[in-house]
Amino acid sequence: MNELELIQQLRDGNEQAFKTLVDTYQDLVYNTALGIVQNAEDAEDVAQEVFIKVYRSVHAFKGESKISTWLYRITVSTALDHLRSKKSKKRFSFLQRLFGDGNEPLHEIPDFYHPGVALDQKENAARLFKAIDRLPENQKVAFTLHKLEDLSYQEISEVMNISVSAVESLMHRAKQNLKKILDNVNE
Amino acid sequence: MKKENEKKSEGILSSIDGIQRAPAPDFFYSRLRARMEKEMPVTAIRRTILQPAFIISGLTLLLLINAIALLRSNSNVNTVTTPTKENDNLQIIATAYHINEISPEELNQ
Repeated sequence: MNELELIQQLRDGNEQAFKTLVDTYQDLVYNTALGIVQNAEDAEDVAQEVFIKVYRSVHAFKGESKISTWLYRITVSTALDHLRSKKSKKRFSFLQRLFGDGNEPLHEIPDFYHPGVALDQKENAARLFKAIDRLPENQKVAFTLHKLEDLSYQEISEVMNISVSAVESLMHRAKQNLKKILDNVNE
Repeated sequence: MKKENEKKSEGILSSIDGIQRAPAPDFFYSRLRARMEKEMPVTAIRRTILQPAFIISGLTLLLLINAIALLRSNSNVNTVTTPTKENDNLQIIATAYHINEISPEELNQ
C-alpha cells in the first residue's frame, strides 16, 4: 500500500489502515518525542496524542508532503506544548511552595538515559541531554531531529518550514551553545 | 586545563553519535486504542453515522417513510371525505322532509 492509498483509507475511516499507520510510524514518533521531552512516560503520552491528532485531522492532510514529514511536525509541536505546560505547572508549584501551600519537597530532575545510547557512553549522553534541554526550542528541535532521527538538513527544513541555510545556522548555534554549557559544567 | 575541558566537552558532544532509535513501548497500539475509546466516544458514534452506507440507508428509510405517509394520507382523505359528503347530503334531505326525528320503529311501521 503506498502513502496516498493509506491516506485515502484513513479518510474513509478504515481501522486497519490506522493500525498500519501506527505500526509503521510509532517508533519514529516515540523516539522524536523522547528526544524532546526526555522522559519515557511523557514520550508515550505525547506519541499517543500525536496519533489521536492524526486520526482527527487526516481529512486536512493534503498529501503535499510525506506522511513522515507531517508526523514529525505534529510530534514536534505536541512535544513542545507538553514541555511548556509541564514547565508552567512546575513554576506554579514552585510559587505554591514559596508561599507555603505546597508540602512536597523540591526534587532534582533525574538524569535521562536514552535506551539507544551505547553503554560506555551512557553517562556522557546523560550530560549531553541535560545540556540539550537548556537550548532554545528551535535549536533543540533541529539538533534532536538531526542527531536522534538522523534527518538531513533538507528534511529538517521541511519539517520546521524554514530554509536549509536557517537549519545550518540553528545547528551551528546549537553546537556552540552546547559547548558553552558543557564547558561551564566541566569547569 | 582549558584544553582538557574542551576535549571532555567534545567527548560528551559526540556521545550520541550513532545512537539507535528508541522503540515505542510494547502494546503501544492497544493502549492508544483504549485511550481513544475513552476520549472519543462521541467521535466514534459520529464516524459510524457518517459512513456512506449508513447515510444512504438513512435517506432511503426517510424517503420510504415519507412515501408511505403520503400514500396513507391520500387514502384517508378519500375514505373520510366521501362519507362526510354523503352524510351532509342525507342531512339536507332529512331536514327538507322533516324526517330528522323518525325512529327506526316508525320507519318499520
